[in-house]
Amino acid sequence: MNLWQMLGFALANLLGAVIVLFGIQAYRDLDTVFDAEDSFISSNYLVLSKPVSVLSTVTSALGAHSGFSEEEIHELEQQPGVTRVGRFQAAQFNVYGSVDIGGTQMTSAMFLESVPDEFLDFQGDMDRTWKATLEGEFIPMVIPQSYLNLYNYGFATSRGMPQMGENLLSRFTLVLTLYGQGEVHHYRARVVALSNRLNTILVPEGFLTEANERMGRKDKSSLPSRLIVATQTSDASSELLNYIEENDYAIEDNADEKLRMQTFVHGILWAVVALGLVVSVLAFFLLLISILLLIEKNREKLSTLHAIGYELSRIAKPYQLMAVALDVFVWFFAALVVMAVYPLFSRFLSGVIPGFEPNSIALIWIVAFLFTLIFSLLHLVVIYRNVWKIRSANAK
Amino acid sequence: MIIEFTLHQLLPNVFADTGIEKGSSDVWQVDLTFQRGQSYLVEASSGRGKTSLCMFLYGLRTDYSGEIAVTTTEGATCRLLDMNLDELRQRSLAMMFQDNRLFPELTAVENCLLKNRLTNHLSEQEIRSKLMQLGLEAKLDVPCGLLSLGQQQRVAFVRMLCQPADFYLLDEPVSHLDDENIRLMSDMLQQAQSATGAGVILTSIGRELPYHYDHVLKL
Repeated sequence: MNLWQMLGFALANLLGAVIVLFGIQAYRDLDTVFDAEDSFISSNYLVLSKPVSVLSTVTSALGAHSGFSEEEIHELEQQPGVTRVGRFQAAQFNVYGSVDIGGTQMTSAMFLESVPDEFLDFQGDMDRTWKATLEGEFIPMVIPQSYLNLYNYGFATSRGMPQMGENLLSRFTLVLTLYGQGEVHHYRARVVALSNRLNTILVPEGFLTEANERMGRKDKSSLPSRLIVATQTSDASSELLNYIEENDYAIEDNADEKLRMQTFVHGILWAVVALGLVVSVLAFFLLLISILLLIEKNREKLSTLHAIGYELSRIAKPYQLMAVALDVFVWFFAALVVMAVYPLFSRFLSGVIPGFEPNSIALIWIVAFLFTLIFSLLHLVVIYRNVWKIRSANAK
Repeated sequence: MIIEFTLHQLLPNVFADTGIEKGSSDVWQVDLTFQRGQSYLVEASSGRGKTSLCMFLYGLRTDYSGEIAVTTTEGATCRLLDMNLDELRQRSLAMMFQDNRLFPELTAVENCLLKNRLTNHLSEQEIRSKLMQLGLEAKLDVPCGLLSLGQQQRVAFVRMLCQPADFYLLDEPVSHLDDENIRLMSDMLQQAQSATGAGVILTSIGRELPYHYDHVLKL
């Protein structure tokens, strides 16, 4: 094998190896984005509601109960894969919020809801962060990420106001005015987390219960209109999904779209990895065929070596060393290339995908090691088997 | 250490159809023992299987019926093909091939060193000295591809001596040599056999190495 052949093989294999390693790392990183949970809420849950229809609009206006009954909740709790069911509690009093942004005072009617604390999973000290009392002055809140987006990309852009990130938002203080049953309370409120999944403004459950008791409308239905369901796995079981469908409950999540997008991105990344694998496997065979041709070319000499007492394993060794050295070089170098290039790609992704957090790049080394191992072992075995045929050449 | 080869009804496959006339061969289709320390001349005309016999004993070919058994100093007897043949070819069986099987791009010395690297039996100086004894002083560092057949035969002979041996197998070793070189080679083989107590099995088509043969066998 001459130098050019060797270089050609090495470059082809390097290209394939880089694509494979790059694709696998990208797959892993993007998968993390799809599987990312809200920072404050425990994973594996669904939010269920009953769909709004003309009939339900009329009946609720007439005072009928449109939420989930205790029987329905109990039945849901018995479904396979369901570990807990929590009730959303809505504020049954009036809420106004006002905020001063860049000198502009904004006031709006608001609504508040709560879920049981055990469904929340705050980073840090939850007892300290997620606590409020009616007599206190401060209320922590969780608002949907979409609200911030609406402000940043809609309101702020059109009014020439500064955009803000999550960190900045958490420093803003909102003044909440709660009133009902003749009582009025003023609080300072601050956003402690944003949610991609819950389209509601959450406050601590203990606070809302107390506030409802004091200020809530007594005629209002106390049945929860939404439920939060914790499941054993991050993907709800098909039995549970069937049950939800049979009962005409709605799942509040863009799970379908997310799944479609995830499948699409996975498909593309698999295609990239597959392409890399094809190139790598072709390069693998290219090297193998080159070495086998070399053995074939030298068959007479090798058979003489064997005839004068050289073991077949010793005869095969230089060819095996050549193959393994190239395998090691190619995958090691490919890992180095990806180490150098991938951060640029992940920086780009961080810019376009909110919440993108690159994973440890150590996986590249593990994958490169495994491919080196597999390719080298195959090369070792096939070369040895070919050299083994020299025995029959000698027998002629 | 091999102390004897025993051939049981050995017959090359190539003779399987035609067969061998009973009593016409001292080797084929008989029970025969080659003993360490003894010298054997195997004579035959062309096509009687001289090279086949050497290859069978050396374990490089297996296209025969019957069996070759080997008895070692430990008293064990087993089939030749069940033994570690690579090890035998480094420690027990030294072969000079009829077609020499030298590497044409390597010099005379390099060809011998290639074998000696496996055995560390001789020093390079000893190898050079043996080649010079056979009149190759001017050819030591010449690629073997440029040597005459007779010169190549002498190089192949010295390469055969580059290992300890229980048996020396020489397949028509002097077909291209003059009388003087045949005599020199005979002396060197005698020396090697005396030093090691090895057996010598030599095939000849007519022109033979003058030697003290204990047995002359007709193939």
